[in-house]
Amino acid sequence: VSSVRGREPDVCIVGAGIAAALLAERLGAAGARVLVLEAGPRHSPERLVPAMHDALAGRDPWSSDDPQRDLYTTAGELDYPLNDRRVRAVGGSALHWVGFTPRFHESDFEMRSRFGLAADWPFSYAELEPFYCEAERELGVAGTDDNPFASPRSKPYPLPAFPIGYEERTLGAVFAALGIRHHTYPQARNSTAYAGRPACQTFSVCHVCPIRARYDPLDHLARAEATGRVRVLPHANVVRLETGPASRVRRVVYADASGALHAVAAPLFVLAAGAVESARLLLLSGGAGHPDGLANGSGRVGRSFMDHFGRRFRVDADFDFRPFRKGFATAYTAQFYDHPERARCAAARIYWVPEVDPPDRLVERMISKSGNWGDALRRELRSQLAASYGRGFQIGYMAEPLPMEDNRVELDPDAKDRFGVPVPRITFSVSDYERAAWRENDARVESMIEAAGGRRSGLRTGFGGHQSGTLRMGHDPAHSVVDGWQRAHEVENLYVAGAGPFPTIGAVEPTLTIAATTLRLAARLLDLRRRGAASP
Amino acid sequence: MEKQQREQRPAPAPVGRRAFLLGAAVLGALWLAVRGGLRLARRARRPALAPEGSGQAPLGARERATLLALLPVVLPGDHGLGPEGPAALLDETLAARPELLPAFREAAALLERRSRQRLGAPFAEAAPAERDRILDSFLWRYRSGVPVGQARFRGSVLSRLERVFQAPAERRLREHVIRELLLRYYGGPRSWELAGQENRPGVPGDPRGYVRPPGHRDGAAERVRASEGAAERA
Repeated sequence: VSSVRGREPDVCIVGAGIAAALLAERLGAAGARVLVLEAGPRHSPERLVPAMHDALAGRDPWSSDDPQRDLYTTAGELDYPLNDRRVRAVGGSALHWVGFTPRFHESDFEMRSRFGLAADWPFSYAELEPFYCEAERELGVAGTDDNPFASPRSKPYPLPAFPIGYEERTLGAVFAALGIRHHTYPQARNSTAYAGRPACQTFSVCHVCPIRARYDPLDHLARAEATGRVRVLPHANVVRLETGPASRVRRVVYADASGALHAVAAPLFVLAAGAVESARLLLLSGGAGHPDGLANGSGRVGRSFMDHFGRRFRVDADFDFRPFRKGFATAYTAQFYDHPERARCAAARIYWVPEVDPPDRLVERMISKSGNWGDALRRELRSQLAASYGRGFQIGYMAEPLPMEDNRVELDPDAKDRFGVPVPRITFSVSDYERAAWRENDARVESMIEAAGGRRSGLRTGFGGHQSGTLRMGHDPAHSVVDGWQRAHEVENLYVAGAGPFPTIGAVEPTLTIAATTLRLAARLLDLRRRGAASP
Repeated sequence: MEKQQREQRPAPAPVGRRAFLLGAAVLGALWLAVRGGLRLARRARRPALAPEGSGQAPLGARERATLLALLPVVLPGDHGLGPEGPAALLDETLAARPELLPAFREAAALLERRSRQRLGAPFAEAAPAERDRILDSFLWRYRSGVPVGQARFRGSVLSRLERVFQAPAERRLREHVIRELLLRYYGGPRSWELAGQENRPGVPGDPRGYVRPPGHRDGAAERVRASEGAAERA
């Protein structure tokens, strides 16, 4: 193992996603020297246009550049599709997110004390609220205060909301007859030009926005590097953390693209590699005094892995939508989130969108059945599509997962990656708590479909890609991995950023909360730095 | 009272309808059997046109010319592909589905043989209307709304009989060659255009177009064009 040359950084961050980007930018701006180690490659913004064309052609533009590096195995009820739901590259999974940024509800922070479930967060919504405002400013969130079910906010959104789309408004009016109220969907997408990026132009390929109207972390990383104190090192695949005396991490060891090992020493380390890789790294870093992995005295490292497993129904109906493609939803209802039966049935959020599938498949079916060719075929296709396409819709919901002990990330005893390191094994099953929400919301959705005069024609299920929960934060070292400041209970110079520390994730996308908790962590580290204690 | 009378009226005898359908099916089957038998006999007498190549070897010049002459027949008149477009479409289709090369080769031989038989000239030299008629001579059943083996008839006696007596090469012409060319032509952006979409993925749209009902559009809005490296005002 060779040591990296040059001056030792003040902080070494593992991972280069949204948490790392925000943290590096804050610390770099305050004068700290930061080294960011990223296992994957660095894509330039110029890559976005070809990536969009890849996506349009049905190819995943963010698929692994090194499948042997990104191996994993699965166990449990559902095969967790990890590599479909993450991006290992500078920018991380926020390169392929769609951009939705609702806040967690107050109840999500108090599941144990309110409902006797899971665990409370070590801090309240109120404590995080100023950082939510800051995160919304950093990401450029468009929204308006029209959600009567949302938690209180102290500042307006930095950008005006995207108006609710024609289709969502039309269906919303139908559902209003059932007493269902809808509202705007906050999102980190420029409704007007913001932060040097243009307003959304509805390219409708939001997971690869070609004009970067949808936030991604590249600007924060660029600003961090522009300070001259932050360095981002791609193709640096951290394989273990090594400890020294006094419960401290001494250095991290990473493998470069050729497999050669290098070590980086620093006074402070932050794991920001996602809930799977961060947990895996701690499990890989066992040693004398901590044979089951670093910071794992509680045995909780890797446990309570969570993601949202959504359900979406396809509905045949007869609305004249002819949807104007925009690529993102503009409305949902949080009416069934904080319901009276939350102790036995998960929170849920319902949304509806016009038919979003490309017409290719319909055209294919029509061509296969048609007896025509030439001009007659085109006339026939036009006429059939006018009668059938763009008249249906989809209605789906996201239910809250329960952090189950047995849903976990472990080291696979048999499989190794191309560096000879055990790969993560992910066990995932759906809780009865979530199934209760399925029963309840399937029935609710059926009544909504009936009200719209539609007919259910299909069901799609899938993961949200919101990996979280494997490095739970809490006050009690016996039941959590990191404390309320996201510092490992057992390792004084090791912090964890991202969704790994989240004890619960409610029924909303976690990205804004990742940003908010990271900004809170940055404020804490800078405060310690000012006070000269265990800080960057 | 009127209601009672209607209820008392005897129902039509089901046996008669069944017999009619059965008779029709038998006649249809007989007709198909005779037609198929004649075709088989004709085919047995006819020498096969030697293909220029075989298996996965690239198409020969004659095969290629025949298939390129087929494209203007199956595509709409104003297909918008430009002079080189049909050739590119053929190449793209074969590049995407190389396993269909033998079917394309077989289709070229089939068209060429029928053209020489009917017109005494290669398919590529036939007038467009003649080419259309030649295609129709193979695919009249599709055109008349009886797509062989398709969903409506799949599993029925009629469908099975059709499958028995229809020359497999003719079925492959429709289901592998023409269908694949059409799917490639109409897939992607053209399918959005066919569906009447004003804003297909990958192109900038009116930023507020999605808010308005179908057919209601304001004036042009400022657009941003995706380009290599930057967002530029268009």
